[in-house]
Amino acid sequence: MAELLTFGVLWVVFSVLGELGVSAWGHDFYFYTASTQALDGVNASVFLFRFLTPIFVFVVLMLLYIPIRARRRSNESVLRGKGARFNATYVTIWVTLSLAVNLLFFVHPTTSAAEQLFQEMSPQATQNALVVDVVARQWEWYFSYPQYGIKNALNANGNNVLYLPVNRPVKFVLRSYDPNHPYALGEDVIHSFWIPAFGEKMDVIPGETRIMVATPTKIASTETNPEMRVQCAEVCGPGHPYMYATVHVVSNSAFQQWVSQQLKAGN
Amino acid sequence: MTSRTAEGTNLSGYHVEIQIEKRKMRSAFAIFLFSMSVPYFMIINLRYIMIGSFVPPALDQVTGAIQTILLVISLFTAVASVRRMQKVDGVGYKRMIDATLLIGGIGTLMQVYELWYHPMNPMSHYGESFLATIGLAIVMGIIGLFVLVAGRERVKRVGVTDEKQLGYELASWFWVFTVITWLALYIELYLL
Amino acid sequence: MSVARIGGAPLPLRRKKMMPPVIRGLLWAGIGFLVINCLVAYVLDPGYGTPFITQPSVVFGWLAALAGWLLGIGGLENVLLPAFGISVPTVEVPGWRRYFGYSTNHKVIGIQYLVSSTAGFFIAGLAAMFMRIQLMGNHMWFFPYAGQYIETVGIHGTIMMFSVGTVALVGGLGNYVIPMMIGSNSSAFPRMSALSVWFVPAGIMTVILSPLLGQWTTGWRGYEPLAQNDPNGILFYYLGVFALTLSSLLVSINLTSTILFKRAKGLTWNRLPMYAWGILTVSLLNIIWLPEIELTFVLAILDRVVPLPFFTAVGSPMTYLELFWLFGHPEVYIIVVPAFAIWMEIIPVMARKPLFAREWGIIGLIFVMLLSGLVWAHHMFTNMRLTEMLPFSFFTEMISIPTGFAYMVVIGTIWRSRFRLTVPSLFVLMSMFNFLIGGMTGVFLADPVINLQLHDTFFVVAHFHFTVIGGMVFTWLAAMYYWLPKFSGRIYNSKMGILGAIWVFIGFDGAFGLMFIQGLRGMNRWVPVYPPYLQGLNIIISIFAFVLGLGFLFNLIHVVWAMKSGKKVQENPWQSKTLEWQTASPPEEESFAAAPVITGSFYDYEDTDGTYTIPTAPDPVSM
Repeated sequence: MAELLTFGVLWVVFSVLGELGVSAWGHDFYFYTASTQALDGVNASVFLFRFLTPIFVFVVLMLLYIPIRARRRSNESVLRGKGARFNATYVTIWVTLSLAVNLLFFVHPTTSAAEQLFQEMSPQATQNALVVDVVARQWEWYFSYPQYGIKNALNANGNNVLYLPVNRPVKFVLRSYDPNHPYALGEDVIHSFWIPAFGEKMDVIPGETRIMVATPTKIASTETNPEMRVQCAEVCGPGHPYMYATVHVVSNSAFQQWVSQQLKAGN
Repeated sequence: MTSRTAEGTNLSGYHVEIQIEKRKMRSAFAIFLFSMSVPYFMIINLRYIMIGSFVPPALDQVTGAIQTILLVISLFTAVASVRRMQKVDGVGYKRMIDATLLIGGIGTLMQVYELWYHPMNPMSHYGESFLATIGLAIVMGIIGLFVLVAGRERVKRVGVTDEKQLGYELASWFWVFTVITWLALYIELYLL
Repeated sequence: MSVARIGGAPLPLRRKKMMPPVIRGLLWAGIGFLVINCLVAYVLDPGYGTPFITQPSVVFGWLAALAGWLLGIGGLENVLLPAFGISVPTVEVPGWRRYFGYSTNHKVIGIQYLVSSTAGFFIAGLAAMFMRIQLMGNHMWFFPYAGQYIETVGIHGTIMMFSVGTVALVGGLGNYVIPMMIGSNSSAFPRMSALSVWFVPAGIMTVILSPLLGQWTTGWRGYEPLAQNDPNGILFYYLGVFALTLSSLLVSINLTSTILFKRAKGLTWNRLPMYAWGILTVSLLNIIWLPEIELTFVLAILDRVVPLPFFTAVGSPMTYLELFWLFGHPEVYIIVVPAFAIWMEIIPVMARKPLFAREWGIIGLIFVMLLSGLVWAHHMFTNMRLTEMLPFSFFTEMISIPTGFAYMVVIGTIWRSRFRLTVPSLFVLMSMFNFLIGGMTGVFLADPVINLQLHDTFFVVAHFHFTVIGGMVFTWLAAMYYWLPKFSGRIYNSKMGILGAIWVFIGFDGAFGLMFIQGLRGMNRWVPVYPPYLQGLNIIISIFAFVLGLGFLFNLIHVVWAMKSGKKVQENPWQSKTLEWQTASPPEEESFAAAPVITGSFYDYEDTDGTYTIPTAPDPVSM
């Protein structure tokens, strides 16, 4: 009984410490978040951390504390362990709790956060979104803005660049083909459109059109934070590591200014 | 196992061993066939994923039907060879295997002909499914024929004993398996 | 089953001097490749400009080489000719040479598998070291070209998965231990088993030689349609995996039949050892899913060689992804289910206590097996329809429940026991700790919204290394130390064993624990070149990785040393009750002189039988 009590005290103490750690650092799980979608993910993660911490502490304590407590001393002559071969209470609690926790996790945060994301991606929610056509080829990202007539956004050096206004939903329309060789269908491969700061990625599949929606919440750029970059996340050949593009999230007025610059430059 | 051996109390230990050995062989063979049916299941599904139930009118239905009939006949001769073997009739077994090899061989050759003169473009989704499916049937058919040849040669050289009988039977059953799976593939490719 | 062994019997009349089997196998493989390759490349299907190697010629040439290798190693005399009724008298060579040839003894086969697996592990480990050297810089410096790095990643993953993960605990330890564990002197199909082991070196060599045909950059998953656009090296990836999975398939059929039909008298299902249950469940996974991936790879080869458009951009690349992960996720459980079983095998022995809630342990193994076929698409959250996500998310979260049963059983067994903290038990506890981290991070990955951020980052890399290295490799080490007295009759040095355990634990948890953080900071997979802000942590990870690599090397040297010149111990140093320990250590040619009869449970340490004397002096095997 004393053993059980000591274990219980240790479990509570370490769980509380763990929860304090979750409160302190849990919201930095993604390190840098710059979109509502990333915040959805972080909130779901924090919820998972809250529940997983006591479970983790429980099992780790079991793996550390019990073997040490039950350790056989070298002067001990008894070779047989005591303990039962079955304990209905222990098994019932274990099975019920693991089932309950998993069902809970499925309902919240899995389904709830997923429904939230689906809602943000629904056609109704993206009616007024900024549409960015993203084309992935080996190994380059092209961005065009059909609502503004920008066919291929380029920066002053002629590199592909993504400019986004802050706090406005952006609907990325993702396709994989080579705009320079549109007849060579067999050349396309799977890419994955990922902006680490936005907390989501979507694969770009040849022959299919995929949608990704993100609402940037912070004014930042690749220069100020390197997590704010477009990175191909799915291996797509030897050029895969070089398949990135710079991202600028700017204020609305700065975005309008950039649009007119791009149009003037004939992009 | 203890209960199983108990039913044959009048058998000597040696015979019990042989019975267990045969049961082991049969079950392993069943596991093997179960495992081998996975690719067939997959390739049938793959065709429906790729092209649905489209069957091109250019398909050579006559050759397909004839080769399938031949293979079905070879199925019966293969089963007959198993019956001969169960009667410990090595000569009859060999004769039936010869018949199976002849008829089944012609059927397989016709499949090769189908593969060679496929009337549809291999770049079409039906075409690729057809080629891959019939290719699978041919490869398994060639393996089946090879196993039959091995059984035929073995029965000539070694003869039949109670202990060795099952090996011959399983060679024939493998051919039965290839024919039955071909029937499924035939219905899938040519009819549905 | 006729076992081609001539023990004390007079030698057969015809004694032809045979070339060493491995040499003959290599020679025949080379001849087979040359003949068929030239036949296809120059006569049957000459390509433009008649190059020496074309895609069809190398595929058929490889098949001929594999056939030549298997026949040369002993398949001709022992399998092919007997099938045609021609009996060739063969002599099994004694001594160390028997490990380099065709042998029907399941213990020899087990060692052959283990050695092949270990070789694969260290070859692929060397590839990992190269990767970590490259990643210490944020630009190309160790490898001249990015493609070479990505190819190294692919070779590392392929060899680790198919020649180590799927093989070591099933083909290796399974072949060695399982027949003894169920009280049999041989496995069900010793001749098939004798041949199947030689697929493994062939497969490993094929994958290693793949750069000869050109760089392939798909990683171990061979993603389409990239695989169609890559140079021809990918062909050797397909063929190598084909050989390796074929080997595992044959092992599974053999071990399933062994467990079903070779059990000793009285070894009922209620008494079947946990490891046998583990092998049985994993075999079922192998029997279903290995043919599946083999056919997928055959279709992928046809896509390149014919070419057919199955998985190309104009076909359906997503179908390949589905087919790959349909196998790919059960593969993970093919790797860890035997490890769970070994936990439940070692811990009761070390705890001197009956296995706690044994039925729940078995239920856990079986439900893990069943559910593992329903979760595959969680590898595809970033490329599937939104509506399809939730069912896969559901099953992925649910599979943690039967997995948790293994923990419940082990912890319940240790509770209030007399636990011997030896090197094997230390490794088991470390394995359980690491797999716990792998499982807990899996909860995050199973959540689609979080997955969209973590997928394809180093977080995932860390996650699956925690499950595979943490779950399987640590358990493999535990098993090697546990059964070492069985293999050799000798024991490891406990101080060195503990040092080795702590060494790999620090290296492993340091390297892969930091990879979680690296992934969250935005480091994606398959990149030798990355933004500069990630470099500092990468250098630290690399240093831990080198520590880990040296730690594995240390354990290898220690185990080999202990086998050769460790301290001799009594035959059953752990006083285990399972059958394999009731034989001599190392076992005789025939493990059991007389067929054993089982009258009680293997995990029952409560009865007062006088079989085991309590050592008076401190036990040399305990810490």
